[in-house]
Amino acid sequence: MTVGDPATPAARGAAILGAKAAVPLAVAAVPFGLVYGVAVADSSVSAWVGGAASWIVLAGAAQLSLLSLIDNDAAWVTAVGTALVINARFVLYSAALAPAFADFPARWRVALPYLLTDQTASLALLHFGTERDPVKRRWYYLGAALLFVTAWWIGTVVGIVLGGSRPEALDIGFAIPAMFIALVVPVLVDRASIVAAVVAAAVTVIAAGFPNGTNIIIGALTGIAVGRGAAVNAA
Amino acid sequence: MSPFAQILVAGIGTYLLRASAILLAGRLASPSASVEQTLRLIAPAVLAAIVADRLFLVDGQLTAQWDWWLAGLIAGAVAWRWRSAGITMAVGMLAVWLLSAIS
Repeated sequence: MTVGDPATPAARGAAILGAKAAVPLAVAAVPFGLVYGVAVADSSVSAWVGGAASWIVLAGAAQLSLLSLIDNDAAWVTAVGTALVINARFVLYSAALAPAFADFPARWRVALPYLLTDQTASLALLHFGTERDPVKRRWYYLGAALLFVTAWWIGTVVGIVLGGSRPEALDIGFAIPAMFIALVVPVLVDRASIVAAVVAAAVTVIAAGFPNGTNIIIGALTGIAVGRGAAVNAA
Repeated sequence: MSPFAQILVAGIGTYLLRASAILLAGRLASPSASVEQTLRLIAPAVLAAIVADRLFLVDGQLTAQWDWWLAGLIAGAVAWRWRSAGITMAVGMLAVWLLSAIS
């Protein structure tokens, strides 16, 4: 398969499998999107512009940060720079997915990263561990990613529309750690990964003074390094 | 720079972050086993870092949120046993709601 993928049953099946896997995450994406949409309604940014961010930036934490900084008249370099720092972890997901994506046709490699989120990356990486066929892999990713981002967009729009008339105490706070707990447990498959995870968690907390998710990057990189060491020692 | 322009620049920059390794690696030969092992640690490390950041830190400070910590433990156990994101999140949310109701 080099030029285009006809929608073979195998490709369609893979896309549906991906979408199914993404369902619980997509369900959570709606209230997350709502939180963002409501924030747009509350901000000085217009509904159209704020709403567009959900498909231009496609990253909740960074979008909320942008809104906040724009509202506070921050310099554009600060607003944009902070958003990119918050999203820096996407480079790590990109590296993790690169070997699998190397077998994809060029336009897939250009298009799919647009839809890359924590959730899609996690589902894909987990699935690629057992699925080796490049066609099924990319359609799985596409199915999962499209479902998830559609839910995100829907949540955003509903949040903007509800705006000031939102229900009180939309407290979905714990849903975020709950979701990431659900995503991390399946990838703790051996000693190296468990070591990496524990070290990453500990260092992230220790590095709490570093703002805008930088502590997460520091924690993750340390965890990867120590986990590598654990793997080498076990070999 | 207008809000829209800032969002656009942030969006383009974020896309480049997402596409970085994927576009650069291109059609290179498969990475060595050693590199592959390192790449396989990215998901556990990044996801665990995010969990820790959300569970233990509020505004950059270590904060005791016993109901969240306990609910997180429960969610982790459920995830281990059933490997279902839906069940994990549902049980987690239920646990945190119950814990905050009784505390």
